Amino acid sequence: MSIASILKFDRVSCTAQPPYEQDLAGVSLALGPGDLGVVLVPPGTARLPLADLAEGLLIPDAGMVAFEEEDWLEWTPDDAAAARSRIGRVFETRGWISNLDVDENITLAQRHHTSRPVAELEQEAAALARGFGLTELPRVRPAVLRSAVLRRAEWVRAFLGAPALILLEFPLREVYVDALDGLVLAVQAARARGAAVLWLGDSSGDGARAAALPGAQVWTLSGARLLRTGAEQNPAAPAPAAGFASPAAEH
Amino acid sequence: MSFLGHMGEGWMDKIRRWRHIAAVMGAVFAAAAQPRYWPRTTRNVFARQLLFTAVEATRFIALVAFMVGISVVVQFQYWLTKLGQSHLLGPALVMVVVRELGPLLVNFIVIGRSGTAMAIEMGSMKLSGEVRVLDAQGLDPFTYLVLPRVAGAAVSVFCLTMVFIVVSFISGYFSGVLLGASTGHPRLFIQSVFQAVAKADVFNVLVKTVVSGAMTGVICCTEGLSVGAAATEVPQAASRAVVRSVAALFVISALVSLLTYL
Repeated sequence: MSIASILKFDRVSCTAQPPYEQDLAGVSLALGPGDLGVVLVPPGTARLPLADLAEGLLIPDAGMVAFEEEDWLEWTPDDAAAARSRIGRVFETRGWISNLDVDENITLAQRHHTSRPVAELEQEAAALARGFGLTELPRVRPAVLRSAVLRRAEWVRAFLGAPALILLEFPLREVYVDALDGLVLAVQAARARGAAVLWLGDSSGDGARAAALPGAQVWTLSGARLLRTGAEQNPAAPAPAAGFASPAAEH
Repeated sequence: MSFLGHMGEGWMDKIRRWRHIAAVMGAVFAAAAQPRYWPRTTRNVFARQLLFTAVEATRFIALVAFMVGISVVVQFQYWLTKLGQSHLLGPALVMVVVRELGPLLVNFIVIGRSGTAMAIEMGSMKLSGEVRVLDAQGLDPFTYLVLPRVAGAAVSVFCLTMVFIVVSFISGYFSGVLLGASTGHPRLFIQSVFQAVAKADVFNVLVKTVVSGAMTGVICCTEGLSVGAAATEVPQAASRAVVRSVAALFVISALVSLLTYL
C-alpha cells in the first residue's frame, strides 16, 4: 500500500513547555515519500518543539499531526511506539543513553523493534559510519567521545534501518562543515528509496545549504509561524547516491 | 483550607500515590507474563539488573548470613539443647530465619544497595532527557526501564533469600559444633529443618521475597521517574524511595504473616 503523506501538520498550534521555549501557531506542512522539508530557523531562536510534535510526543493545543496518514492521537500506545521505530532522528541536544556504549545506542531501536541479527545491524551501521567519515562504530560510552564524533554517530542512528521519516534537528551543530557532503548524500539516498526528511537548520548555516538541495520545500520560522519560502526547484525525488544504497526495508 | 481539609488532602494524596504504585505493580505482573513485552533489549536490561542486584550482592549477603548464622542459629542450638528441647530446633529456625529474618534482611539490603541506585538512575535519566530519547525511538519507558528492573529485583530478592537461608544454617550449624552447642549429626539438623517447613512457609517466603522485591522496584522506579527539572530532586526522590520501600516491606511482611499463620 502506497502512502501519499508521511508527515502532515494541519494548522498545528503548540504552547512551548520546558525544555522548549518557542511557541508554534497555525503550522501546516506535508511531506510525502521522497520529500525534503527544510525549516530555516533564524539564529538565536529558542528551542522548537517541532520534532517532538512530528513524533507524537507532544499533543498540540490545536490542529492535527499525522504520521503515515494517521493522527498520532488515534494510535494506541503500543502502535505509536512501533510507528516511532520507523522514524530516525538527530536530536538538537542530548540524544544518548548514558549507560550504553555508542554502538549499543545506535542499534538500540532496531534491536528493540526488529529481530534483525546484531551482526547485520552493526554491518549496516558501520557502512553508514564510513559514509559519514567515521572509521568504525565507537564502542565507548557517549560521555567520553568528542561531540563532533557523537554528532556523526547520531547521523548513523538516524539513518539505520531505512526509516520512513528522518528528522534532522540542527544536524551540523558541533560538526565541521566538511562533513555536510556525507550527510547530504545520505539524505538524497533516503529520499530516493521513499523516505521523507524534515531538516531543521540555521538559516545562516546548514539550513541554507539544505534549502538549496533539489526538490527541497522550504519554510522559514517567523515568530511562532512557519512561512513557505520559494518554490520547489525540482519536484522529482533524487536518484540513489553511490555509497548509500538503501538497506533492507523489511524487518 | 481548614485544618481538617489539609489533613484530608494529605490522606487523599497518600491514597492516590499508593493507588498509582498498585496500578504500576499490576501492570508489571500483567506485562511480565506476555512475551511481546520481552524484546531482546528488555531481556538485556533484565540480565544486567540480575547481575547487579543478585550476583554482585551474593558475597555481601553471604557474609551477613554467615554472621546471622553465628549469632542466631547457634543461640537457638545452645538454649534448646540446654532446655532439652533440641527437637524444636527445626521449627524455631524456620520460624525466625526462614519466615522473617531472611526475607526482611535481604529486602533491606536490596533496598539500600539497588533500590537507591534504581531511583537515582531513573531520576538522572529523566532529568537529562534520556527518557524522552527512549520514547522518541519508540522504546516505551515502562517496557524498557521499569519492567526489567522490577522483575530483576523480584527474582533477585528471592534468590538472595535462598542463599541467605542456606548460608546462615550452614554457618550456624558449624559454629554450634565449634562452640560445643551442637548435639546432632548434620543429617538430623537438615532433617529437623525440612520437617518444620510447611506449605504455608513456602507461600510466605515467596510472597515476602517476590512481592516485596517487586514493590521495591516499582517504588524506586516511579519515584525516580517522578523527578521534574531540578537536579536537587534526584536525591530527594532516592530518599523517598527508600523510606517508602521500607514502609511497604514492613506492611507486606506483617500482612503476609497475619494471613499465613493466623
